[in-house]
Amino acid sequence: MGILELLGKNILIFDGAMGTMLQQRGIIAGEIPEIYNITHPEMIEDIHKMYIEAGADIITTNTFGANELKFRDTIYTVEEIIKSAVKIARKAAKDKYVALDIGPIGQLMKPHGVLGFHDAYEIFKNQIVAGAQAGADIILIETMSDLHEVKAAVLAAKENCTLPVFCTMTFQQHGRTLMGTDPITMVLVLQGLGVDALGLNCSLGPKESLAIVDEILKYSNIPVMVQPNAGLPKYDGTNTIYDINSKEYFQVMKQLVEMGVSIIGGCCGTNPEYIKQLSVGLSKHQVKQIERKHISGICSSTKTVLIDIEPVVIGERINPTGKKRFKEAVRNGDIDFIINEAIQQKKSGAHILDVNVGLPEINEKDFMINVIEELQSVIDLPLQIDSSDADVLEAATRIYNGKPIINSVNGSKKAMEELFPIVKKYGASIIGLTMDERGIPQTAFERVEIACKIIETAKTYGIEKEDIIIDCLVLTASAQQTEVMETIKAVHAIKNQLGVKTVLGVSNVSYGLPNRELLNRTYLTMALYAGLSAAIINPGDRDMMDTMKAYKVLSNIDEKAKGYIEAFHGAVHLKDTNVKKADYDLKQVIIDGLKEEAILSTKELLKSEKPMDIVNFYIVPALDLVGQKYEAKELFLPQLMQSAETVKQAFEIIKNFIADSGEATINRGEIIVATVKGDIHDIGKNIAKTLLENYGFKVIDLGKDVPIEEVVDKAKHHHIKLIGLSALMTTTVINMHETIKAIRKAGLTCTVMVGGAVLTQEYADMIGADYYVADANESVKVALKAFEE
Amino acid sequence: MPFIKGVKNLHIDKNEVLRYLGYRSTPDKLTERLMDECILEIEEDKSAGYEYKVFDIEVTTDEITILNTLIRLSGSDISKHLKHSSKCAIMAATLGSSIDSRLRYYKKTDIAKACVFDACASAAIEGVCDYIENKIRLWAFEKYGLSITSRYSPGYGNLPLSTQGHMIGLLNASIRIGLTATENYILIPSKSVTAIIGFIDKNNEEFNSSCENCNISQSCLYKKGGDYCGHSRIVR
Repeated sequence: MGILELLGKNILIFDGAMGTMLQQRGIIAGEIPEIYNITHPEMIEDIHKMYIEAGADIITTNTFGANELKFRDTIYTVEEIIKSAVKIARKAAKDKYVALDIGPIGQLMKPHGVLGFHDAYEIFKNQIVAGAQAGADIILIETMSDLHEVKAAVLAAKENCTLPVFCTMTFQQHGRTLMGTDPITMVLVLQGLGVDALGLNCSLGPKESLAIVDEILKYSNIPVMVQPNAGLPKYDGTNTIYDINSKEYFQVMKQLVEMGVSIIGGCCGTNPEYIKQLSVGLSKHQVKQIERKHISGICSSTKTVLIDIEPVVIGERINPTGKKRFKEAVRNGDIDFIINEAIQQKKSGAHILDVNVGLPEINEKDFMINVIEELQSVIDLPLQIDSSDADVLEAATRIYNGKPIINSVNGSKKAMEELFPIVKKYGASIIGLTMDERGIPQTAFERVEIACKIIETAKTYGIEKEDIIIDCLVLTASAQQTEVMETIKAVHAIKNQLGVKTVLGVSNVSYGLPNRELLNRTYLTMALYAGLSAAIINPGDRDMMDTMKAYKVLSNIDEKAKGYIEAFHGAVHLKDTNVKKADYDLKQVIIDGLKEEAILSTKELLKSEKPMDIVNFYIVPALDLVGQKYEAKELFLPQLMQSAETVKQAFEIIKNFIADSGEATINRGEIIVATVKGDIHDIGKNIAKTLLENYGFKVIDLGKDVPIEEVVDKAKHHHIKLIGLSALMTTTVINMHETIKAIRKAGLTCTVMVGGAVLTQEYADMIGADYYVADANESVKVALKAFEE
Repeated sequence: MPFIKGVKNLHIDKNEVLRYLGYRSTPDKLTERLMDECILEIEEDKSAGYEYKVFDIEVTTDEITILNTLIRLSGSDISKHLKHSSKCAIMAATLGSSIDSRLRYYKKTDIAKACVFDACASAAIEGVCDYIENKIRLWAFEKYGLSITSRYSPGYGNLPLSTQGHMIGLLNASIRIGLTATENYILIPSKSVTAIIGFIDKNNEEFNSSCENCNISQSCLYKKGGDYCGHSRIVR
């Protein structure tokens, strides 16, 4: 009988620890346990047999760390290790099942570390292909801390074999994994990716696992698996000892089975005795039926936003439509600008952010991937991936860490055929627009019909209702006044009759009319009352956000008006309190590092001065003065950077002004900065970048761990005159040397300046740099000199 | 609030922070405020972790053998450091990846705060290491009546940085506390330390300046100013 036929019907017993058993047989620290599959096959087989005799239904191959990175310095290939491991397990298992064990790679993925998503995928793929060919029955992805790594592994399994996939993550006592994933997020993401069983292993003992497993069971629609350690580890000076014996272990595991867990086994510190207890006492235990839950949740890797009773705000600002400054940022690849938009929206209270970077003149796919990665590296809000191109949507959804919303599909056959497979494969949620081949229908009735069509078609792809959010489409009151109410009626009907969530881009309604704010917030109130689940709005619009807060009080969602009181208690309600007088001198403002004031005084100056004059006569002199004081040790790095941040604010105002007025942009020259390949310590580079930008240079920041070719290519492409490289470690300064060599070899005539803790003037000379800069201030001096002529 | 479970009274030393930032005098109000904010954030973060284990060792002039393991530490400097020891503790500590995430956030939003946060986090991991060192000191004394040497990390002197990988492996630190090393032996999360501490007889205690072991001792900005970095910024 196939394992899938037993899954969720019978209690399935996994084996216990392999490492603990090998230690008892004399393996010592520093040895690679997986090599025993080749050097000591009989020992491994013996351990497997003991677990089978103890009553395990499934044994796990000795391949936890059998990946390319760990085997790089050995004489063995991953393939031969895995083939041998599966063969041994197969022989011991007889009619029982063999799970191919896949543990974490042992390197952190980007943005934490340097391992890319695709590289991780390839590593897992090799393991999985070898294991499946050798005859494993199950792919077991276990002891994971990073949800992104799990996603790479699950995709590698799903795309390269047909075996069932079980997946467990390891949690800390505070209820999250080391990388910050909580149980609900794990469940929604892994279930979405289509694993066959999920759960927890390692790290904790069974008692400590109870609360976390309870959470997992609350959300999971698929069988839950638990393999705890034999208690918490205690170190006695020579050995790590686990403090729970097999009887106690059994007692708690029984409790877990009663709660609804149907796959059990052991991890560190357990042995065949523990498994025997489980097998004797629980293998005939009835499996508690899984109750089907309908949870609409959108996730980053650390945060889940539930789309439920409380209406959700989806921030709309990351979108170039109608925004000159944003378009300019997209054309220039200015990701910092986009990140800043994201952060502002989060601060204003957005729950989810829509991300649209579509402009005809750019490579939307590459840029979208880049933006998603960068956003996810600094912000924990779940994202809504917005594009009209299915290719872009798929590529972005694939690398996204979590469970996104895809925006959007419509009711046309073509759109649904194109998008539903993507939604299903990656376990995303999808926005369905109530329009089809015929356009947007006039009546609510017809829109509900299209919604029905979308929901039914989605069902045939295996996409459940809870992952569909219907957008009934807002039309402008100035052009299609008769249809404005139809949208509201449709929201009501779809919410109540079809039982799916709804979303609207509310502010369309007021287009072309005066006092748009009034119409927008009134319409929002109407939509909320009709049952709107999520509003796509500008979270910076106080009126709209306040309307949401008021609605939550009046509809009894914000109980005892707690959130409302917190937001408004003691707040002064004067309109236009912002009209402060800007009587600050920008120079002094910069010296003092006053960011708010910088905005006001720059705006004021722009009324009479040209942008370039503001830079030359206010900003640069102030920066020079601050720089001198820094060199004289009258002020220190944080103060220098406060001033730099202040200038940044002023520049943002100037850039907006330029975008609107069409004046010439400020650009003293283009400079590339990069932290070299292999190095991830980039704070020094970021400090230099900020200061260089302050002086009006256009800085192309290639980031950290930058491949040598990328520096050369970008320098060529942008005809760069000056490159700044940073490295912190002696091991990565070598790559700095290589980068400079490559720049010279390519025949580029650019000047190279280098900085970083390990560097000295002598070293800089040795590796062929033109300048050694001890700090950011010096990098500015070099830049001014380089662009002098 | 402590930032390691079960560890109380663990504070970030503000003077250390100021020293990392280059201050010789009292900081300005803005920096002071940033420092308080950052310290609070780091102390409230719960993702720090550490591991240590004690091993018997055999010391020759240019190699340490860690008994009952396959691990050998090469280099005359580590041999010198452990010349009076027959046991050592190997430790690993990290503030965890969420501190890196916060730092990433500030690097994008407020570079001034990023500088201060970075310095506070460096002081914090030093604090964690001091705490572990004290635990090990107590252990050595209670179990063996011995004292300990100072902490010695891969990259000091001629102990290769690649030793980091062995130490992480010995402590199973990647699974236990999420500590990893890249191909270039950079520790990730970035605010992390691995170190070896020898157990020694009281009579053999000697002061051991780590500046000698630092690769930038010639150009060090702290040292130039007649100061030192507190040995937290030893560069390999």
